[in-house]
Amino acid sequence: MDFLTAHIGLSHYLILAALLFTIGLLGVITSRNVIRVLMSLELMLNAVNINFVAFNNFLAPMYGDHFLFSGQAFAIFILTVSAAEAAVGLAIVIALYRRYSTVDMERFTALNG
Amino acid sequence: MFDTAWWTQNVALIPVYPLLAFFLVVFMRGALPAIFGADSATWKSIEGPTKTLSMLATVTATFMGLLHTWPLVMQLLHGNLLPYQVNEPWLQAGQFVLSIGYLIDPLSVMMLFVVTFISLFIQIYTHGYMGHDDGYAKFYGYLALFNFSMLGLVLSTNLFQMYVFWELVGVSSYLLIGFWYTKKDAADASIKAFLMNRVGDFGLLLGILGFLYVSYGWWQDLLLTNPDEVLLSFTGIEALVTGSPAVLAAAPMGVIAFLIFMGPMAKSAQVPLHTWLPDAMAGPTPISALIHAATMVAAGIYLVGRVYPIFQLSPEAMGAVAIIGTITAVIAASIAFVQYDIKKALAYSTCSQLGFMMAAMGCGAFAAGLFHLFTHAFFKAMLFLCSGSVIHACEDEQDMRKMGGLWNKLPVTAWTYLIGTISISGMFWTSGFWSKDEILVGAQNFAMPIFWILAVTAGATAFYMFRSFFMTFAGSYRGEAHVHKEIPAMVLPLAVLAVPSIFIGFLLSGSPLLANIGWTFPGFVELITPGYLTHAAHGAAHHGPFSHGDIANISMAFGFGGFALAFMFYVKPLNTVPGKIKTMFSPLFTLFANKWYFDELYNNFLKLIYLPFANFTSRFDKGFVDGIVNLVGGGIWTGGGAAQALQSGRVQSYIATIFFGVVVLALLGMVWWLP
Amino acid sequence: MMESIIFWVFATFSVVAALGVVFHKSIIYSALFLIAAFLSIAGIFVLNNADFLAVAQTVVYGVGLTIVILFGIMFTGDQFFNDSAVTKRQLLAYLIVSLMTFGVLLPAAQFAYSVIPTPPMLREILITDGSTRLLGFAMFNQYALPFEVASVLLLAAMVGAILISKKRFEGEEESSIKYTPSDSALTDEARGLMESTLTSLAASKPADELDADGDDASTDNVPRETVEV
Repeated sequence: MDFLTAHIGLSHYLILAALLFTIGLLGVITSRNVIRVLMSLELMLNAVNINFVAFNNFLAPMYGDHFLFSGQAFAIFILTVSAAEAAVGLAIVIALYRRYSTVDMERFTALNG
Repeated sequence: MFDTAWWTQNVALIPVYPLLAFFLVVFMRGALPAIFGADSATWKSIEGPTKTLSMLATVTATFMGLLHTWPLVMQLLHGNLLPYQVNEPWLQAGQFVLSIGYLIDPLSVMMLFVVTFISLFIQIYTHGYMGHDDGYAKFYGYLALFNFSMLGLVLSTNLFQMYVFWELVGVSSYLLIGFWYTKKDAADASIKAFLMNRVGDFGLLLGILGFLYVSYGWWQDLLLTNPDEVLLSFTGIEALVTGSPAVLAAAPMGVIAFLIFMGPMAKSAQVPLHTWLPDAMAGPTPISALIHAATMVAAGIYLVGRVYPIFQLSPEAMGAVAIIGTITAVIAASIAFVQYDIKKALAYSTCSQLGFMMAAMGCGAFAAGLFHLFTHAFFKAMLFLCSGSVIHACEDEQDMRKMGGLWNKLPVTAWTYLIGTISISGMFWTSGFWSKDEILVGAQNFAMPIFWILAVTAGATAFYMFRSFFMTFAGSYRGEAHVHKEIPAMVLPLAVLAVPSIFIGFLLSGSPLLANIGWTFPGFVELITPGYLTHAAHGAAHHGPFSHGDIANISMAFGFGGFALAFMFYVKPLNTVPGKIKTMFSPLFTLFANKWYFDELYNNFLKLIYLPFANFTSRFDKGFVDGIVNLVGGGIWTGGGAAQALQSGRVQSYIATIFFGVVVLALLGMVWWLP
Repeated sequence: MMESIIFWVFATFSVVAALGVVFHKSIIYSALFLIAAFLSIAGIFVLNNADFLAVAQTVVYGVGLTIVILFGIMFTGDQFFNDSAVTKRQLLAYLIVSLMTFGVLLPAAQFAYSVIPTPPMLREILITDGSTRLLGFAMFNQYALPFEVASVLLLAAMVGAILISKKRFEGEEESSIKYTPSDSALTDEARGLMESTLTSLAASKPADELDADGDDASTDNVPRETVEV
């Protein structure tokens, strides 16, 4: 169990983020419930946030006489965007549900022309 | 304001008058009914006045053109006409500029006079002839359009501008031949005329482009040194050929000249492109007189005159023009022997006379050909107007076998027809005598066979013209229709045109006798011959065996011979002698009656050669070319069908596809850039 | 040492919770797994010296967003779909995910930054000041404009969400949200209660409104009951 006590570096966080991102992607592609798709999307965004925060922690650049926390700032922006996305996404889910009376992704095929 | 120079500098107004008249007619007869509604009371109340106004506008425009031309004619006669030209850029592509403008020189003034003078009287005549036709106003509109086109052609400064107006007169001719387009023969004839002219115009365009191709460098130098000059201008062509013929020494000038000649060949109805002209008689008679006798068909001769320097470079082309002209004169005259339709007979006569002119141009008798054009315009227009008067009087009967004895019933028409017949036969010092003499002089200087053929053909002209005269006016009336009286509006132009038909040839003949009557102006030949030709003419003057007087006697003798034969055949025992001759020369008669089988030749060419070839190419196109196209299309169709499966409409499939692409790209990137 | 153990705990938690979000049959459980994932990711943030972000993550994601999602679930009901059939798309998804994980992301992460310690200077500052001051500095100097734009975005999203969810479609009655309880989500008892409510409502309403309501069913093949809320 060496790895448990080994030093935790940037790549550990990156790998964790990669795993979460791909799990989220799997959910987005395979889920049939549109709400689960939304939740998986949030997972993907969080994985990206982990990347930003980890990079910020290990590689924050100097800007003048202080460190520039770009990574965390971007994480905040992503937080904002994902909140907006969730609000609009759920509104769309409601609208879809009222239109089709279902949340089954397989039934939303209007793009098929 | 109206000093000498004003008339020259504002000569562009002459074609503008009829153009304005045309727009006025179009506005009144096209736009007004659309504005008020064709059934509305307003339109009904002004419809009559617009008709009269259309006529008045067109006639006034032509009259103003004639008034404008008159000072120029006077300047020409007094010898103080200054050659003048103005050009404006029209199409510009970098260094390549095509221009339009107007050119005043003796040749264009002569044509201006012919066109405006004859147009004016034919338009007056039209008022009588078309008075009860539904298309009265439209007809005047077309006439104005034709006048604009023809005057623009006459005033052209360069070959491109002339080509444009050349096509415009073609369109006007098409519209006017097919004026009664509900009649099948008129509609067919208009299409035939258009197609025949296409053949010629194609050659003309190729010729123009070929000429430009071989001389383009020289033109560029000219435009650099002389900013007043424009591409392909007639003055430039003259300067090129006379000044630096070395430029064209290596070029196939015979081919180029012959290609250019194809345009006149179609427009002036030369064999083998002549078959449209007789058919064009299906149009209204004023049109036959104006377009297909006096002016438009003469445009071919005019074009040859304009680019005469090019022809002079190539003896072969000159020979071809002379021979084709002679053949046309003979063939058309022979067909005219056996025509019973009065207008068709006149049409073949026109064709034959155009052959005379063309032969003269080919023989090097430049001025003689144009002189004949000039006199022929007057008497042939008059003859056609006479035929129109006869047809009008006989209730649209055109067959001469159902006429006869009209001498007393249509006195003015008969007299003027007689004058025209004498004039075209070249007898008694009438206009035709002088111009035909000049042609024969030119022909004997060129080649004796052509001289004799043309002399005999001149006799034949006398024969068929007197034949038509006797059949129409002599003897007793053979038709059933009631013969109407002559209409003043139709008689007046006849009477006016008779005057130049008799006298103008003599007045412009340059004969010493003219001094006796106080006429001191120079002759036509002297007036019209350009400088570069006078030098050449002095060198090659008179090597024929006959003197001027001999030739006059010879042509007069042949004319009397033709007259006598016609008198024998058609006056005394009518219809018996021609019958005997007919049986004696029945193969020849059949040949003539079938117009030398030219139409059949064309039909068989189309049927046996052209259409099978077109069929073959069509199959090739449908089978091979379309096959390739269909193969490509089918491939894309199939591929599209396969790709259609990708568009399931499911967003998640799209996401999967996008990320699949991302992964592939990322893997490729790793293989490429990472060590 | 301690840090490593904490990392592994949070990492395991977050991955398991994420898998739960994607694979658990019930959507409610998925939502709960999502909360767990968000919270463990907040822990990861703390490990990365992002204390402000960790709190924001907990408040915005762990509480706010999950509540919104739970509302969504409440509106649409807990529906089950036959997920078991392995479609082509699912195969493609697994292919993509495995390629992405083992072919691209892991090697990239391994290769790029195997072991980089936090810069000691930064570590000192973080220990004395915390990250909030630096974050605020970045937000209001370097990223002031994006910050303002983000506020506009939030406003637009709010307006948009309201508009979209208020918009009515053809044949839809005012203030009626239809939802279709699936068979497994409702006990027979609840169904009976609902039907009796329906009947009483129908009796108190004019017949023509019910007809208009019934028209909407033509777009849908699934038999369902309609409830006025």
